[in-house]
Amino acid sequence: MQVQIISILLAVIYVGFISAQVPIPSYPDGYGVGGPADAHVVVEMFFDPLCPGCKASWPTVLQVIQAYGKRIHFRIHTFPLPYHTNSFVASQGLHVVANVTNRNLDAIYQYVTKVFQHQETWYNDATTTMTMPQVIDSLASFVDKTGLVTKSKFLAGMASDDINDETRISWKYACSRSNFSLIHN
Amino acid sequence: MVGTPTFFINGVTIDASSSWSLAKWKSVIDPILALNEKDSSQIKDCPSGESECVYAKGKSQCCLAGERCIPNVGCRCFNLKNGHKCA
Repeated sequence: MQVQIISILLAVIYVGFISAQVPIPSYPDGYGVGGPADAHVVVEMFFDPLCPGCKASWPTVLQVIQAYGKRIHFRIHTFPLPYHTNSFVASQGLHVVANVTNRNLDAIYQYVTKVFQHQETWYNDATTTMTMPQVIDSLASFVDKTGLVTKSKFLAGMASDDINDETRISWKYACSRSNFSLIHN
Repeated sequence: MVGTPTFFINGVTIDASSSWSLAKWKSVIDPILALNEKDSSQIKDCPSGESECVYAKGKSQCCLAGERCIPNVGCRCFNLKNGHKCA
C-alpha cells in the first residue's frame, strides 16, 4: 500500500515537471539589431535594467554594435533580478516601449540607454519610501520626458496584463538558458 | 542563468565582464567571423566521370553522375524514387 502511494506521488511530481513548459513566445525572445538573426556571429546580452554591471558594460555594447554593423546580430533580453526590487517594472517598461512603438529598435535601445543613465533613481535604497505605483509613475514621467512614449501610453502599457505576461515569459526564457560563467551584480 | 549581465556568443556563454573593452570584444568576435569569411579553395581537377561545379565565387565541388550543380548550394540530386541515389 505504501509503495503504491509513493509511486502515485512520484507520478504526480513527474507530471508536474513535464507540464512546467516555458510558454512559447509570440516572437523569438529579445530585441536584435545589426545583421540578420542568422548572422555568423550572434551576440546575446541578458540584462537587468537596474544592475550596475549592466550599466557599466552598455557603452561598450553600443560600440560593438556600431563597429560591426550588419556583420553580427546583437540581441538583448530582459532578465530582472528579484533583489533589484523595481527591476521587473523597468523591464516591463522596455516591453511597453517595444509594444507602443511597434518594435521600433531605435526606441527600444534608447530606452535601455536612458534608463541605465538614470538607474540610481530606482535603486532599492532610493525608493524605500515609495509605493510600487509611485515607482511606476516616476518611471512613466521619466520616459515621457525622453520623448519615447507618452506618460499615458506608458502607464497603460504598465497596466496591461498582456505586456506583463510578455515580461514574465522573457524572464522564464532567460531562466531556461543555462550558463557556466557568470558575472553578477 | 543566475546573474546579469550574461553574454552569449552563438549560444555559448562567454565570460565577458563589464570591464571588457571594444578591443577585447573584437579579439573574440573577429576570429569567428574570419572562419566564416574565408573561402574554401577551388577544386582544380575532378576525377573522371565527375564534373566540376562552381556553385559560388571561389567555391566548387565535383558532382557525381546525375547530380546537378545548384548555385549557392553545390552538387545535389533529388531522385526520390531511387532513394536519392543519383546513378
